[in-house]
Amino acid sequence: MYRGLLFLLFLLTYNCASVFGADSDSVGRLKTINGPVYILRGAEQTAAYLDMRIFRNDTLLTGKQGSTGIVFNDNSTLSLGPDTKFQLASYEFNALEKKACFVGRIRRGTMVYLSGLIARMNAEATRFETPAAVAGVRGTKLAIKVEGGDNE
Amino acid sequence: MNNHARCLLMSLILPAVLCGCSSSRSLFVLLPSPDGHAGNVTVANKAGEIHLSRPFESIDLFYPEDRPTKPVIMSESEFNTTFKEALAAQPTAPLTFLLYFEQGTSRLTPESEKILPVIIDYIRKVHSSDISISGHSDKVGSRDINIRISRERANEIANQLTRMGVAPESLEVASHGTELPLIDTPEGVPEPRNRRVELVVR
Repeated sequence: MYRGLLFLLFLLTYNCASVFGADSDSVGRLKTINGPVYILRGAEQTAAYLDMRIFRNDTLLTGKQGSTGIVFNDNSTLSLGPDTKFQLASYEFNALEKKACFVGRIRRGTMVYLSGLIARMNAEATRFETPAAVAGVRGTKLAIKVEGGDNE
Repeated sequence: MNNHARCLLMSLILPAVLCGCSSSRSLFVLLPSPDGHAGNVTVANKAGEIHLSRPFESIDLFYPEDRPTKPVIMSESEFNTTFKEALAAQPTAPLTFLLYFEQGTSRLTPESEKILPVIIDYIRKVHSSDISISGHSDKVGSRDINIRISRERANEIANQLTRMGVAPESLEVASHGTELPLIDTPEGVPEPRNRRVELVVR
């Protein structure tokens, strides 16, 4: 119980300054798109296209027949299945400044993630949040499914 | 507000966000890495935490107070059905080329020079407009010098690609200095395998 709490606290306080960092640099690109896929950026929702640039704080939405795949700057890859809502809450990859972090929030749907250089720089820097728990990923491949989550 | 204060503030806000408390099901499955490298995943919430370390080990949770207990091994066929579309949408893994340099310079080794045309052919074949070029150095010399040499190495490759007809806007150039060595060495030790440019075609 206490270990869980400590771990959660550790995850939450982990210094991932990018939440407040500059949003001007793209952090990845869409490499596969099937069916309806949208990017929610601020209040604006745009239909996704191939090689579209992804920025931190973007939310990716796929329709009932939609799916998409992203390659990030650190060569990690993420793919989303149908009816998925995924927010890139934080992303930082700068070796010279020793900054590395990846925080994703999946509210509904399915995802598959394969880690890249961020995990090599800092094994504790990658996590995915769902409505029920937080997964800390140490250099590997992970799949998550969230059913009956956020339906907005 | 400085960054530290902001972080503290976020650490107070985030738990409230996490406890959205709608009833839903979260399924986590650890997969075998393609490179055979053994990673692991820790799944944690208010009630506890659990480690997944074996391929297809999975845990199912329904709300933040649901204590993660014993993980189960998911069958590969069930996994492939559950994640069918997401698996099919996985991007092709980016292809990385390594180019090596003479010590302290941005001059390619003769062997690496021969690889450049191969890289160009590949870029044309896959019609890539997303190429990352990152310069690296070994740990001989000061930090500043190594950052500069790394940048010169990356720029040198970017220039050569551009001369060979690759669109400059397709290239993203970065300098990593000694921060991401392929081979770990002590300070001051020459290591030819770290004097490199990693060119990734995405």
